[in-house]
Amino acid sequence: MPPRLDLSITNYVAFQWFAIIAAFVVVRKAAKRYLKDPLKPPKGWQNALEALLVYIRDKIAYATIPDKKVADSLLPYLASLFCFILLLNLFGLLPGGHTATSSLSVTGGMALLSFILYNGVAIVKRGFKHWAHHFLAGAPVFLAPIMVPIEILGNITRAVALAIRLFANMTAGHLVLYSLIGIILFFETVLVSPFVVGFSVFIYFLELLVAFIQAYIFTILTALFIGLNLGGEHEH
Amino acid sequence: MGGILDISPGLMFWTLVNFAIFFYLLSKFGWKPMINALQQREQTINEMILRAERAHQEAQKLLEENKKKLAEARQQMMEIIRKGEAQAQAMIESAMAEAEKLKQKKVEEAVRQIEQEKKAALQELRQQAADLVVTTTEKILRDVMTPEIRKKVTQAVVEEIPKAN
Repeated sequence: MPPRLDLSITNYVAFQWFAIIAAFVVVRKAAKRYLKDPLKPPKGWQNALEALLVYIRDKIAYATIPDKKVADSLLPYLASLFCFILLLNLFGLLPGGHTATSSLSVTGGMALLSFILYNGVAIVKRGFKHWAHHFLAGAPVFLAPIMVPIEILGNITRAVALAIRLFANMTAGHLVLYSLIGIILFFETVLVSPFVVGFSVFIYFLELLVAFIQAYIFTILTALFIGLNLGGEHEH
Repeated sequence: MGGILDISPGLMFWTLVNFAIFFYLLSKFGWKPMINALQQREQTINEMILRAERAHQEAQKLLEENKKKLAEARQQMMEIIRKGEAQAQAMIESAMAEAEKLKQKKVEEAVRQIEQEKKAALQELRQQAADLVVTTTEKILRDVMTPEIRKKVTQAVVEEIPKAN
């Protein structure tokens, strides 16, 4: 089947746009206060965003990427990545919302970016030779026929795992919700509804938690892979 | 549309485009000013801490110096007091010595004066006694002298004269 580029605006695309608008409005508002006086103590949205940014910087970027300059330059990407995934996750929890991250195309796209990034940064910062050397994983050269395919596969798998993990987590929660609601229709009685609603609310809160956790995991794993590919030779 | 595992290139394309826009907008209008401001603030705070530390050290040094100066001043004060006491003692002693000397002199003078007075009195007494003796003798002689005795005495004196010459 020849690949066909269907550029129709689906719900997922629309919700990505919502995410862009929402994030831009909030971040712009917060950033304005910084431009006015950077030394003032943060307030409101600014405070929340600052806590987020500092957390991403100290606990994700600096913690996983050994080169501080690279970490600093990647910080905007990591922060954007976290916010984008988080917003898409959260929008899916709104009534009538669609979770863009529960589509493998969306998570695949994000994982593709991470894949390009964690290989690209290593090539650009450390050189092609250093990057290619990584596929030996520190093993003697005669093991190359075994090691290199494994490592190449591992390198690709990381991105695939990123995509699947996020997609599966976001899809699973919704599937559970659908299934729970479906119970009412299946039994055709309102008697089960208290249990169903109770469980649904529980799952809903769980999903709220998962939305944050998955955004965090996607971001920190991307940073970690960048750090691993950048770093020394023997950390596999 | 097939199953949930199908990948639609169109959606992936849109995702990449949207994320690119998202990343661009947030980086340009959000993260960059925020990161800059954070760095600026962190730097300022670090500088302030450093400055405060330096000021603290300075204050500590000043305090130490002041303590030392205070101790020095106390010592000096003590010395001055001690010196003053010694001086006062010396002054008292010298004054006392002078008083003693003066007293001695006064006493000596008094003694001398008394001696003189005594001498004068004695002189006078002697004078008076002599006068008295003469007067008395004269009186007695006047009563006792008979012409006979006078003659005898005169005789004796006369007889003495040639011998004397």
